[in-house]
Amino acid sequence: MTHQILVTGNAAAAWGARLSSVDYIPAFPITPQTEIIETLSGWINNGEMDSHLTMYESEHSMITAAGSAATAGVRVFTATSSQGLMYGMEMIFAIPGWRVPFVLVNVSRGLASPITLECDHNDILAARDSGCIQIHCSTCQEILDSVIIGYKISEHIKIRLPVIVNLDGFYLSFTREPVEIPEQHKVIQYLGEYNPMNDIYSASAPQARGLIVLVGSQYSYFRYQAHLANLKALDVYKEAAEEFTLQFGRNYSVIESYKIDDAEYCFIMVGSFSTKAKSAADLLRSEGWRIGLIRPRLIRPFPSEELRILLSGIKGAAVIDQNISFGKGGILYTEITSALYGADGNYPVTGSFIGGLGGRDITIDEFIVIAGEMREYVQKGKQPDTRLLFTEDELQQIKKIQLIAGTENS
Amino acid sequence: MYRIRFHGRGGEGMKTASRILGSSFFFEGFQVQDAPKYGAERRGAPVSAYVRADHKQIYERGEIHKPDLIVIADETLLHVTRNTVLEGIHENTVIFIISAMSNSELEEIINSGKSIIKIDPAALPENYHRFLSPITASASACFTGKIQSSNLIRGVKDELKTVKDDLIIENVAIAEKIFNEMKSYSGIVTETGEITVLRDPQLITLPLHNSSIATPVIRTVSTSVKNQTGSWRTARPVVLYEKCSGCMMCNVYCPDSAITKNKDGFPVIDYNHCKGCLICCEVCPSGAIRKENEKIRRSETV
Repeated sequence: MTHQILVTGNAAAAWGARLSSVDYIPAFPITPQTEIIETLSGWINNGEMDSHLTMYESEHSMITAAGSAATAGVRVFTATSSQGLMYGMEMIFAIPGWRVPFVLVNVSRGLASPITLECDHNDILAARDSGCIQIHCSTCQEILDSVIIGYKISEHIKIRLPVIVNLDGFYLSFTREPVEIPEQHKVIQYLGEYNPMNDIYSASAPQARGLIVLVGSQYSYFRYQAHLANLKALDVYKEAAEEFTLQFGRNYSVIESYKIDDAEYCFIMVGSFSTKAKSAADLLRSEGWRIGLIRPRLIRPFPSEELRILLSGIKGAAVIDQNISFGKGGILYTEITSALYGADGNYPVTGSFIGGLGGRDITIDEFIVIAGEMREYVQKGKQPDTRLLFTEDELQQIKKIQLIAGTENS
Repeated sequence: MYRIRFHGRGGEGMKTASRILGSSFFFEGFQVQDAPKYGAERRGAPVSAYVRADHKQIYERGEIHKPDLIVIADETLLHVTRNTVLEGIHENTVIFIISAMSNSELEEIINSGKSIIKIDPAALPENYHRFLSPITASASACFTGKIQSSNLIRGVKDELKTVKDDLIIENVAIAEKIFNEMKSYSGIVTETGEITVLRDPQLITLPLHNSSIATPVIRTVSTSVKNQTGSWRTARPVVLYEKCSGCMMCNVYCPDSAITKNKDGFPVIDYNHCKGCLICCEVCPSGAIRKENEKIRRSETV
């Protein structure tokens, strides 16, 4: 029988790995991810989980080990965060070209500098162009379920790419919510016993992997194949999610939409703060607004067509980015607008708002202000400039610390 | 929705308290969200934890800006970080505090909210510092009037399942005791619906500053001296000069440079900055640094 328990986002990620019966876990600790590997090693230590966990000396080695173990024919799980993901980034970009499956959980945390422990999405979005599939979660339940769905996609014969499941540091990693823990045999029934396909280590049938290709046309072929596989993952995801719904009852469409059917306005965002946008939408609706939320779960592959269907007929869309590309602006905003530009249809005025950097809260008041500004711009019929969610109070606080730091008058 | 915020210091068990209360609500059939809030973990530094409980799915996240109940396990926080501890206090907010201060003193400092419920440490067991989690969680559970003692006890046991049996028994006993003693306040903490009282956040357009200002850099010296980390201590090292040989090993190992040499060549501890890590006690070859309970020492000094 399935049952609900209160667990943190980190524990939910560990449960996802445990229920998927992973064989091998290369690990390296980093705040706020550490609890994931502590939980897994605890289970392995007391015999509740049959798996092998190896501590590596860095994330670079850890991710190399994840890819290598996958070439040797076992189901692999690993996890990191922020600077750890950056340190392993060479291999994050290299391994998709090996075309092997595994799931990596990233616990989002802002990047240096300055150093922070708190959440934003610049770490995971730095891996955007790597070839890894990206699933972004907004609740603890979704984390557990996405790890399981992640294996289903990653191990598909047409895909064979790593899947990164992203959860927000602190706001999900250390937050407990009720989570239904599926029965292990049902998860195995859903995933099937691990099928390594051609990815088997055998001394009698040697293979060479991670090859050099000095001919541009050959290089183009392999690179574009990885791109096509990533695109194909959209269909594979849909099948996997549909089957998941049949088996476990929970529904994970490519893009979650909330109260969007009759909406004139919407917030667009990813991650845990998107649930705040739901309560803001509820509040605004009580005042007569027709507003909802659009939350892409997949960022790679990017669900352009599904987004166009949802946005068709909406007058104003506020994209709230918990990240920033210096010299351009919000990354999600760029992705969203590029999917709309030149497409046939009636698409909204889109506004770009940057908020929640380094774990900064986005308050309900700010959602209300964002909605109000979007309405003004819709009435004017023009795209607003990028807006940082930052208050006069915060600037005054900065001035105080600049005084202490001796930088104020330099 | 119930919105409950716990304040204490790292090591006092406020995360555990929030989890006990969260589990108790959950066993009672509520949707629950609980989470601690801290920076880099530091024993003795101010920390907070949150519990939200509702009958429908909870969409709010992170910091609670308008709490129905504020729990203050460590009264010194009212002096150190008063604005953080009392943030968002409104006419229906109940304050629960463990404090030796008089009611009038507390009312003067807090100066708002619906009511202040106080437990005097003198009315608690001598070693109550070790049981701040069950004390604050059970009082909070009682104040809501929605949690049966059986589900509170289940919450305590669930949270402490990895510790020794006798410790669980002690925790359960104190939780039951406090829950019964607070019965007269049952139902005093009430739910607030959706937060609808809004204020303009006054968003600004951030201008470009010169890089000399806009770089995370500190150009002044000794800024850490201004941060009086002595308030983080839960235990205090005390030099026993009759045993001390003046070898100054303590000075070498003190990670905060809080031990200096006096004119006679013996160590002096700077209690304004000593965080109470007690490394000095461990490394002293003569056993001349004793560990004392900080709270007892502080109340004696007062």
